Amino acid sequence: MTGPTRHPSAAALDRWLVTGRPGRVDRHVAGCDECAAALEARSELVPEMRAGLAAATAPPDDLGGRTDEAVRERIAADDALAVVLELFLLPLEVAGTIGGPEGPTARRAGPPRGPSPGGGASGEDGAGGDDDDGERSDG
Amino acid sequence: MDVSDGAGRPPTGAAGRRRGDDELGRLLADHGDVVYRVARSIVRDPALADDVVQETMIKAWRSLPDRDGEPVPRAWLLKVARTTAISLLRTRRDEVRAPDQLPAADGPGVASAERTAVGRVALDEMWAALERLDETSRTIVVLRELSGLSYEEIADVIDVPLATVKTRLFRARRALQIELREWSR
Repeated sequence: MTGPTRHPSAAALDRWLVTGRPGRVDRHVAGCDECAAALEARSELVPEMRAGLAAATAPPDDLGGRTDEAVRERIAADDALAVVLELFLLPLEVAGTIGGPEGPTARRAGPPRGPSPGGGASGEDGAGGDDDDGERSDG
Repeated sequence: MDVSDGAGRPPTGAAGRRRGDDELGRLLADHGDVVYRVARSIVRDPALADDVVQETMIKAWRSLPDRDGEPVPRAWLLKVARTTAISLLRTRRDEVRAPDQLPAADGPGVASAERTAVGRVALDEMWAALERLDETSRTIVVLRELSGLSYEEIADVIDVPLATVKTRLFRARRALQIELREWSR
């Protein structure tokens, strides 16, 4: 940082505003409130320009109403989708809770008792592909 | 500053939902305009700016449960708006056309009094001058000139050093002065 005693000249500040050079002005301005204030004043927009900027970026008059409506619709749709997904996944969760880690695994690990009538249930647990679908839809 | 998408659930139950509805109305009333202006300065297209405002407000609304009744900070909201706008612009650029070809024409909404007062030709000149600035400089100018944010707040929103905010602002304003020199006479 250049010390406050070596301020760039007014011409140097003007040149820097347009070209960004010399780089030492950059460094000086970063630490010199006096020069920063001078640049602030030199680059101040006239009221007409500020009004033009405001007009160019002005929101439409009905922005609030339209956005309010659209946001509420989006939130309601997201909530509805979440409920549908929960209902869709509920049977899988129930099956997982009933079968659980102690269900089919326990039967397989236990002493041999011959064929089990409910043995096919473990195959249905593998329908976890639905989980993936649910996550994609949620995204 | 954390700019999560607000993964928490919004207020539930009748009372909670009413509170959330009130808060949404307040968010729009307090910040809708400035969020739109920032979005517009980045995406330029009014319809895209509308989308950015919606996305931003949804994220803000969903963040409410984590705020424990505290208002949504303006700097946070503007940072979300900027991130959302840049992300949306990137998506559209990949899908449709280059951002430089995006229209800067008036949007689908009714022309505001501000726009009517300035006039079509002047608006075109202003947009032509704005489009010669880079996106960060445009946003800094809008945040400073129209939203009244401090340099520190702008640095927070844009995520650049304070000195960069100042140098970008000064040089962007000088560029506008030069482009629109007729306006000063």
